[in-house]
Amino acid sequence: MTGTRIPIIAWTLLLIAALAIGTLALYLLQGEQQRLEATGIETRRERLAAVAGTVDLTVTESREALSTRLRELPGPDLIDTLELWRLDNPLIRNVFVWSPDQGLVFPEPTQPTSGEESAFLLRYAGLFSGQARWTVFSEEITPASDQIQARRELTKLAKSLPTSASAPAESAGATSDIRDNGWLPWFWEEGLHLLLWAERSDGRRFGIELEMAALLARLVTVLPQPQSPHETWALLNDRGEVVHQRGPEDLSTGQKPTMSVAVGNSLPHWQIGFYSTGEAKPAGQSLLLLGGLLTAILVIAIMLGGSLLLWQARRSLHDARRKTTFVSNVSHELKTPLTTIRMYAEMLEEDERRCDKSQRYLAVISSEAQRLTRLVNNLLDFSRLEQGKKKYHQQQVDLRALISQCLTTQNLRLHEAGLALDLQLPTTHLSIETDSDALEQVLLNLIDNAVKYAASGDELQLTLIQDNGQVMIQVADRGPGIPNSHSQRIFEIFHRVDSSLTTDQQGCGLGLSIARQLVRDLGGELTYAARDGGGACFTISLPKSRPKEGDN
Amino acid sequence: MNISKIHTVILTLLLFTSSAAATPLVNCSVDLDRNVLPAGQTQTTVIKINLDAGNILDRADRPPVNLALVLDRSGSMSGDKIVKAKRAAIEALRRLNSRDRFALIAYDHRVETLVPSQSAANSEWIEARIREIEADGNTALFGAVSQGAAEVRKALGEDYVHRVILLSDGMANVGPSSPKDLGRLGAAMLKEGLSVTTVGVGNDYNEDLMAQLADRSDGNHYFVAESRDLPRIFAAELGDVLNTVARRVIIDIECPDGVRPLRIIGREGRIRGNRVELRMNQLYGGQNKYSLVEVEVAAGKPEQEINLAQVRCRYDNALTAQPEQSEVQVVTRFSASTEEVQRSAKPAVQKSVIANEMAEARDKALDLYNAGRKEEAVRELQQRQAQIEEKSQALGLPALAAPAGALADDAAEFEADDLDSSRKKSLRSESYKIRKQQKDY
Repeated sequence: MTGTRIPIIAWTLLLIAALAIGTLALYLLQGEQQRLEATGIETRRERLAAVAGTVDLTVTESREALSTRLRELPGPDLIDTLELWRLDNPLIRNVFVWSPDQGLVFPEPTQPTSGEESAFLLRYAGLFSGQARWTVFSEEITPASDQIQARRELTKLAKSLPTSASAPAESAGATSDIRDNGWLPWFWEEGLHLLLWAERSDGRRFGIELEMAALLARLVTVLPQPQSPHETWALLNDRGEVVHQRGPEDLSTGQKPTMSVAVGNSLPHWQIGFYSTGEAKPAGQSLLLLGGLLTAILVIAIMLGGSLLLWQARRSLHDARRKTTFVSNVSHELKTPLTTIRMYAEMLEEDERRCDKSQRYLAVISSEAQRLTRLVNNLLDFSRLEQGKKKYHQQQVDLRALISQCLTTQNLRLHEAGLALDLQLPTTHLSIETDSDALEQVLLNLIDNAVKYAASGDELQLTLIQDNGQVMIQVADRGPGIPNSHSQRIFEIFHRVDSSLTTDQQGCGLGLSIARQLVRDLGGELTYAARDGGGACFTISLPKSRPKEGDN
Repeated sequence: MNISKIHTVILTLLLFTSSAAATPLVNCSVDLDRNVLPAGQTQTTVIKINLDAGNILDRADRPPVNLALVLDRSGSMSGDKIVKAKRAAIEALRRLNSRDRFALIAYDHRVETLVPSQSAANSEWIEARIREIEADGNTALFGAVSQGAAEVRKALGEDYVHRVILLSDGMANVGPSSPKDLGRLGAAMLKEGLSVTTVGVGNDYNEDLMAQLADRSDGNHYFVAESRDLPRIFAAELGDVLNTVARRVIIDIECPDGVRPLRIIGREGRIRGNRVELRMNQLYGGQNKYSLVEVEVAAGKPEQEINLAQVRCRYDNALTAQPEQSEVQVVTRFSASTEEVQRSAKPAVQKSVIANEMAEARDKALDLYNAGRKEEAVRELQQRQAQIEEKSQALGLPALAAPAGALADDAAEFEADDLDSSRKKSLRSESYKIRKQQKDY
């Protein structure tokens, strides 16, 4: 079970990390998108303001040019000059002369000579009768941007004449007579009208009404084409109606502009509107889309990789299990004939009638059979432990008896290996609850190791100590010991200390690993320590009384 | 009382031309509805001022033309209309030569300058651009005409005959769209010497708007019911434009004391005190244009001769680009004899008066009708008919009033439920033709 848990945990962590990266990336992208959109809006607004500025400047310039001309009109024949001017100039719709005491002098209020004149009289009746003020707009109401202001100043400067030297005498004479002048935006039924006027020193006012149709006809050609094919600009009048548009959008459905900028006080309440076509994606949105896609691909790639690894892990685990099962089965199959062989060998050994030679052969057969049995037992234990199928039979075991019995069976081997046994058992009876077979297996493995690797040490010390709720069995030899670098790894499965000491010894690296696992399963611990004065010392510590619930 | 037939041609022609020896390009003459006025009573009389322009004899001499074609490509034009319009445009282009300028503006709700004003010599490229036009979208008429004007304006200072030809089949619905607005645009363009000819196709365009625009800018106005007629109409229009002999024609009429101008019949003009001013942007060769001015004359003694008006006609000769002028004095005499007065009546003048009166009546009735004042429209037609008959009776030419009977028919038609859109358009364009003496097409 632990085998699959780790890859799953790793995979989950990977998933969380990938999701976290994805979320973070999306969050950052969103921020970036918003920033881009804000920049886009700002740029658009600036461009619109520039367009509005152009329109404003165009109107202001025409107005100022007309105003200058108006101030220079000669005093005598004023009405005739005004009329001729009107007939000649497309920008002039009507002309008038007004005096504070007589009211309107021209056109004659009682006898308009054309429909246009009567409409004019009606339109400005309020003004000429004195009900409305002549100047409503001062330049400060909607201050134009600095940029526009600067351009305007520059235009003025370029047009300015030397004040003293080349100013023609007659125009100077005419202008000096002008006391005041101004302009007046006038809203009447069908929209905006502009009136320019000048006042002479005698209080008479004269002026012109701008022909808005002609002015607009020029303005629509001034309106520039938007750079993007998805944008539409429109000049909107004071009622929000489209006067002219540039760009593809069909505005007849009356949609509201996404953004609008006031033209300025030259055309009060007029606006430049901005419309964007649905198909057009703002730069930020496409960035988000692309970024999101990349992030998703990244996350998916990470998860796929993780899943692949998990799958691989599970597969190899599965393979390992199958192998263990196989080993277990084979071991089991081996054990039955082995037991028979051993039994008959022992029976033959007991028969005294053999000659020495055959007696010796039988002894070899018996000891090799025993070795094989230990090996098979280890293999069986190994596969059981691997599969978690190892069963323990807990019972009260007298440790002294167990150790003695175990040593009895091994006495011959120890003797043959030339190892002197130094057994130190406590005098008192010592019994704990444990699995005697497992414990015996552990002892056998340790003794086996000693026989295998520490035969040169001539001594094997076996000590049973009771200490503070624990029981410790120490197996110590005077062999070459275990190099420090290997002192921990010796308990790993299949690990062998690869030195001249061990290479000539057979083994499969299972013994210590199984021993430690068994001891741990019994609730104890198997540790190694270098023995003072050379050699190795393995300690089995077991609790005296096992906790009730105890694992199997 | 034996009164011999007295020749009463009292028209003194004072010709004053800048090129002293040559006959003037435009011949200005005047007629009265009666050559003798009854003595002892205040009365009204009509002065007819004729402008006769000679044909251009050598076609190579004709003044160059600066033309801007403004084509409607809104959705309603799709199908045969746009195909024919394109063919007509190419037809027009082919009549121009390398001295002329050509610009093409196509519009729906957008306005696009397909061919910026340039020499018509590059006709292959221009033709290719014309063929690319496809119909779609709304109608930004104001912007399109403005753009057309802007293209023509590029060569405004030079000696071209400037002309914008607008073709539309629908209602203007982007930008200023009322007949009044477009009329004012036309008036402003006229001051620059730009005329707009309007061609209305089908039954859905706004005839008031199209007529106003042409009227105020002194262009021609055509009503084309069938799109297959378009190439022919363009040819007719080009025939006029290419035959322009005089430009910026101003007729000044100054009346002495005792004579007061009352109104101008048919045309737009301005009466200020005892002065009347009429303007035309151009005169076409071989064409007679006239203006009718009604004046009130104070009572005179029998056999007294009086000067009714001093007529001065100024214009730019389109061939030489020089200003020229001709002057005429209108003189008449009073007579105590009713018979003599009646005999002196001029049916030709009265005919023009009646035709123009009828045209005016129809225009006014249409305006009223469109404004939803149906009863007033009918009354207008009926009253005008009565007036015409009465006047003809007074002149002793009752037979002339017969055509005015058509007004009664019109009145009946106006009174009926719905006036057909096509009928409105033909009424409008007919009146226009009469008032402006536009050639038949």
